[in-house]
Amino acid sequence: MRAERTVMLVLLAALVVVPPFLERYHQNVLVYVVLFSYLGVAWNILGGLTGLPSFGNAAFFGIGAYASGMLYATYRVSPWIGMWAGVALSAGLAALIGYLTFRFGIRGHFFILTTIAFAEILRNVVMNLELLGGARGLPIPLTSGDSLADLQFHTNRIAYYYIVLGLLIGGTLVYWKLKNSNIGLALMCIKEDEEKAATLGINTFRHKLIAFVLSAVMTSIAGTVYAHYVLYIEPTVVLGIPLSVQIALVAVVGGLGTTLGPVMGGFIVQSIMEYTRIFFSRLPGLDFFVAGILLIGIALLRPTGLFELIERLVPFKTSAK
Amino acid sequence: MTELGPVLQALISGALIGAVYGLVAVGLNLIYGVVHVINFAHGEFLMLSMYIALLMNALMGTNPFFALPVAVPIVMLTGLLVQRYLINRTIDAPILIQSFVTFGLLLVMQNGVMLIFGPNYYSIRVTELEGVLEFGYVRVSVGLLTAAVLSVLTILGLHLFLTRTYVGTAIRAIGQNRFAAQMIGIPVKRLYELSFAISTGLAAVAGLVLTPLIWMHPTIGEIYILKAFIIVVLGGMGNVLGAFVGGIIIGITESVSALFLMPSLKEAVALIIFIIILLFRPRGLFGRAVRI
Repeated sequence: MRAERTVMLVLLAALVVVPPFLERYHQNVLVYVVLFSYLGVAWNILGGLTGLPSFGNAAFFGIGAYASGMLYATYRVSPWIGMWAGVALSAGLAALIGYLTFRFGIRGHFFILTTIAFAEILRNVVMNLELLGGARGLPIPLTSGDSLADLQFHTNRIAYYYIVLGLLIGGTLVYWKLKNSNIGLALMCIKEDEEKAATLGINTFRHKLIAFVLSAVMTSIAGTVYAHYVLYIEPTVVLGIPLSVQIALVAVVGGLGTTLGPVMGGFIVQSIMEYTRIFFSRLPGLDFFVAGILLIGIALLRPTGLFELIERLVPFKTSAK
Repeated sequence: MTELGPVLQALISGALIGAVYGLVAVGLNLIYGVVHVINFAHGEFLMLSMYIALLMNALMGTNPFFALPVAVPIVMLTGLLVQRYLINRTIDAPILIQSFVTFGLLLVMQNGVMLIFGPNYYSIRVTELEGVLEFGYVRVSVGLLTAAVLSVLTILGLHLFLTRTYVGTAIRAIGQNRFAAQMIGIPVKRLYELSFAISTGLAAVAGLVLTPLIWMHPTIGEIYILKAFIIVVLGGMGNVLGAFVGGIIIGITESVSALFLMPSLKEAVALIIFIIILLFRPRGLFGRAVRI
């Protein structure tokens, strides 16, 4: 327990102290790495802990991006407020999808397909809404200087990094707390055997719904931060199937249902993809080609994820798994 | 009567393109019915055959239809290898892991083709197919008609193979109960490979008949795979003829909704139908989904 805590604190200190000394493009990669780690943690609540893999989390990410992006672009509403509009919409959509799929007993392949279908409907609708910029996308108006209220940092780009790092730490704590709570136990019970869980008196419908909404809300917040980092929202990027797959990939590479697995997965998957994009910018598609190989490789060789390997090296026993 | 013309036109061209959608969906459904795996990469095999046709056209000026004897076997061989080395190894794995294999394959094939051919759009012109037939109000392009007829013939061929031949019966037996089939001596793994090869072969045929009609690009598979999922759910998972009828329904739905709504929303309409069917008729419009 003590060794584990020391290792974690050292890693955390490194994540806080080192980045400002890195070159700018490494910082940019780190922002994506940490953002996707956080997205993986959020996905893991539903996909890993509860055993309901969603391939449509881009829907919530896109809602988070568009809700605050649109409010800022048209009414200059601060993203810190717009974020909650996205959260509310995402929670509503997750509750709707969850209600429909759980109420009508949609499982397995069909659950995956339904989540894809909802995200694709949303993409199709957004691409036809002039209010949201349609297929061209939605640019976010720039502020003249750095502004915390407007979530724009043109000179101190590193601020974005600390925001996503804060999200990651917060998200991981939420996941850890949830996992060690009664709700978390119930969710794991549902994953193992839903009928048995119901026999034990667990309200499976409500628990699955809680997991779905929590996962969606966390994903949505990341969408808001992303929109104000990139300052341009493209419907095919923020609502596309590749994003959904990438989020799931991060979690599975690290390890389904592990607390720190998605963090590790984010660092592995995202740094490979981002550096592929930077070093082979003349070869568009190579990043997702590599992601595809990672997907197949992890499924065939180590479906339980890579975090296990670390657990074998370091005597991590309790909270990590 | 003036209002009826465009509607009739939409019905006919919807049904014709729907037959091609049906062909794609039938292949996807065969794999779901027999191997119980959802092949997310199914559309990529369609795309692969298009690019083989493109390559042959660029090198030798071959008409896409004459590329059939080359492209279909190549795609089928690819499918067989995929089944043998990737799918067979995860046959008992959780659904998520299985989906990862076929999703990974989708990314590898799509982006592999992007790396080789670039993200550009290509088309192959076939002058013989550019004519238009007129039947009263309705105009039908020769290319679309040919594509529909070839799709129907291919589906018919598959149906006869599955119902009238010894091997086809064995494949259906595996679909019904893999363990019982194994017990009476059916070589399950080998027939999985054959089924996968046939399924990808159907996608290859669909790709070739579509080639003269559309602009090809590396992500074109995604468009057809989404439609194929909708159709499969509509017609019933594992039901070959149901998938064909589902294809025609989706083709008509798209062309009619393009007439009344914004054309770009036609895919959203099809997806909404998909969710409704999934919720209220999970075994498809035609009931018993367990048979193929």
